[in-house]
Amino acid sequence: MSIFPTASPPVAAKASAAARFNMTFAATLVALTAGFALMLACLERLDSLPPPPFTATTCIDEKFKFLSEQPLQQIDLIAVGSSVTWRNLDMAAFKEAGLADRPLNAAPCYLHASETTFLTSFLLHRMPRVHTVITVVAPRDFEECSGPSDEFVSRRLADAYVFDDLPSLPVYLTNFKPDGFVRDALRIRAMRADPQHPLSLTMDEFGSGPLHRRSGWLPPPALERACFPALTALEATVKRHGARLVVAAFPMQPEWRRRFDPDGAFQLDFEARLRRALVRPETIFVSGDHPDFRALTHADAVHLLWESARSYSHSLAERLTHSRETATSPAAERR
Amino acid sequence: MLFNSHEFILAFLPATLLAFFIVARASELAARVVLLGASFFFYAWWSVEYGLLIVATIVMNYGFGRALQHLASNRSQNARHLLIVALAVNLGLLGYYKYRNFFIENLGAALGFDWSLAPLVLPLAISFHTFQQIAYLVDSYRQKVEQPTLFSYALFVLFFPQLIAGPIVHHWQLLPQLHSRRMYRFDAESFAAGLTYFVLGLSKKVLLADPLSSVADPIFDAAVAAPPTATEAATATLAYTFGLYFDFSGYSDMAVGLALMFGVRLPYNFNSPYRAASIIDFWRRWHMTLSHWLRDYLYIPLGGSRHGPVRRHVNLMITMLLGGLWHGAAWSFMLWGALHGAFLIVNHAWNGLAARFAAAGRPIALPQPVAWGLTFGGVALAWIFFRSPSLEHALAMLNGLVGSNGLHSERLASAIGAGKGITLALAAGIALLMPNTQQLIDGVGRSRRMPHLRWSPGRVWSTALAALFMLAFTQMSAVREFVYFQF
Repeated sequence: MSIFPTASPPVAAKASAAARFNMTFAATLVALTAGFALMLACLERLDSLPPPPFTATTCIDEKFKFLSEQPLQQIDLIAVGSSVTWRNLDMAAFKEAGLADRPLNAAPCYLHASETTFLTSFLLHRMPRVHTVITVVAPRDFEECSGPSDEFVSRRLADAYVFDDLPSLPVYLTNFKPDGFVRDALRIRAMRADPQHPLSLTMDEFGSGPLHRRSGWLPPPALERACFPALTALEATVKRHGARLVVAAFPMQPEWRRRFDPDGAFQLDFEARLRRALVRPETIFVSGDHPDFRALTHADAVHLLWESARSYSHSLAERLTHSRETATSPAAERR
Repeated sequence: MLFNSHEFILAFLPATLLAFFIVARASELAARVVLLGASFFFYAWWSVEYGLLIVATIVMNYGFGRALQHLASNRSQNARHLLIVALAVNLGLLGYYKYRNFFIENLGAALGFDWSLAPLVLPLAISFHTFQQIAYLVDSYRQKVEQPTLFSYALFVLFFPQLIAGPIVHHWQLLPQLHSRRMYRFDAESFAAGLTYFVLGLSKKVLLADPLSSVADPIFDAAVAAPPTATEAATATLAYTFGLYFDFSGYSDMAVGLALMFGVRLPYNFNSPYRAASIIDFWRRWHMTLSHWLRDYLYIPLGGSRHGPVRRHVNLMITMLLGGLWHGAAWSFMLWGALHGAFLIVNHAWNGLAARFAAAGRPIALPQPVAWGLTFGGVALAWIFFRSPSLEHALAMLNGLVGSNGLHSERLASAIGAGKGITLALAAGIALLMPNTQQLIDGVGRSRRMPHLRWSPGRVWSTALAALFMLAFTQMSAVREFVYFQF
């Protein structure tokens, strides 16, 4: 007997129509899912498949895709952070200096310091061999945060995809954003292949994203004091996993410096805040204000052109190799 | 666990449905055990500790209910005393978790002390299940309860579709259905209707409410730091007004739909409230199960309209103030309740005036569009207090609304974009012009507009709903809690 208030066709006919309705619903879901998977497969064949949309931010999602293809269990040195780390570090320099056998640039883009803390924790809990974590930071990394650690991606989903070979279909299905997907499908091939593309996603074998063109991007500083504890949290996270942290302050771009920090007070204050946030004796801090860095060529306010990035990375690697003499532990310095 | 989460849709719901109907073939009792266990799991997924708390309240209230009925049937004076104790314990528990900090901090402020307390985590759905159980206790005292077993009572409170945010279900609505044989046989028709309710509710939540919330939230939250212009304040107010409706009515549709999948009919909670042409009518259409509860267990016991217009107005104001406080421990909720109390008083006074004129042979009435405009405007205005994080924010929004910060700024267009502007227009169109879910699916109170738009279990509806479900499912990634969960 029907529990519905209206009754017209005979009960048996209604029940049979309802059964067909339920079956059609299920069949349509299966067909739509299959069609969706087919569309993804076609796009992949055309090299036009955007990365699985974890964050709807292409350069972050592309990094998750890259990470899922790496032997993460073997990695012993990682770089984490925003594009300040992703675009400015040539990981080969650390390998050549003997600081690591399998270095990896795990930094995506846009992350604030609190989000870097989350990403580092997410990576280290499944990367047991990492002994060194490097991050390059600029003032932009400390402009926004809602806590010392901000979860910007579903940890469970990313964990299954990056570490446990979860197929990408569930990620596309659960996080699908039609407008972003279409936009990326139209341009992703060029972004991956063309190093001159304004939004280039080209990566070297270590995951670094070389920049080969300049832009006039010089945003004014807007530091958020409350975001510096994220660095302390990052340090604690790295320590908890038995690794040491290296924090390098990005060398300011000369034009940016002339415009926003002519007397150098801002940089002094910024680096002082960084040093205060780093409390562990084993942490290494490398100042961005060093004569060696003055000849570097910037692409914009927070990125170096790749040749300079290589030179900067070699310089950093050299400092780490001789860390006792040249680099500074902020906590030890305070003592 | 949220209804709009992947774990619920992909794992919990199919597993529970499957287990329930398979086990029901062998034993109805065992099926009830499955449903009770699943419902407890559903609640305890959020907090095992508070899962045990709700079990404790169930056991306690069941005991109170039995004792009340026994004493009341013997016409013992102690029945009334016991009812007072039982209500005090329930309200005390609610007060401890929900109002303790608010009360102590305000008392401290009044006395010139800073008595700030660490925030307490509010047990999920405590406001809902406390009201549900209070109704059971009062009805036990009134001898209107057919005494259930503890097991049935526990299932009545914990039944997962209605557990978290209503509809507020009464024992006489749910308990007979839990014992009906029909519930334990898979009914394709009931399931199809339930599926439709669920998909429409999910779509309301994910495709309309969440995008609208992302329009309203930044403007409300930054109202003090970045005072809004008139268009920003108006857009945020409208986005919140429609967003809240689609959020909560979407949740209620999902609850009704989930229950229907198990063959259980829950009461409707919304009936196109923004089409109301008076505040009295609005409260017959908005959060109907709460309105009924407040009427039956607060307004009428206070005396209702039985002692003249002045007492009625006082009773209305008390009911709405407490109704406001039920939504949250903050002055802004009290103010929202007070505003609605005042609106209701004005509405009743107007009705009295109109009745006198009608009796004198000179009937008066506001033109329908004016009555609707006043009602909608009043409701939307009151939502500003409901949504604002503080009174300061609410006043900043009102200032913005009257143009104190200019009429328009470019920020608005860049913040909402064309997509969300279309969503707002679509939401307004659906809320004001389309048949609501129960009109569409059950044909209840058939809409005058689009009377032929009616769901039926055919292939076209099925295919369209599956596509809508897929669309909503793919947009669930930024899973947002339902607004009403905090109450």
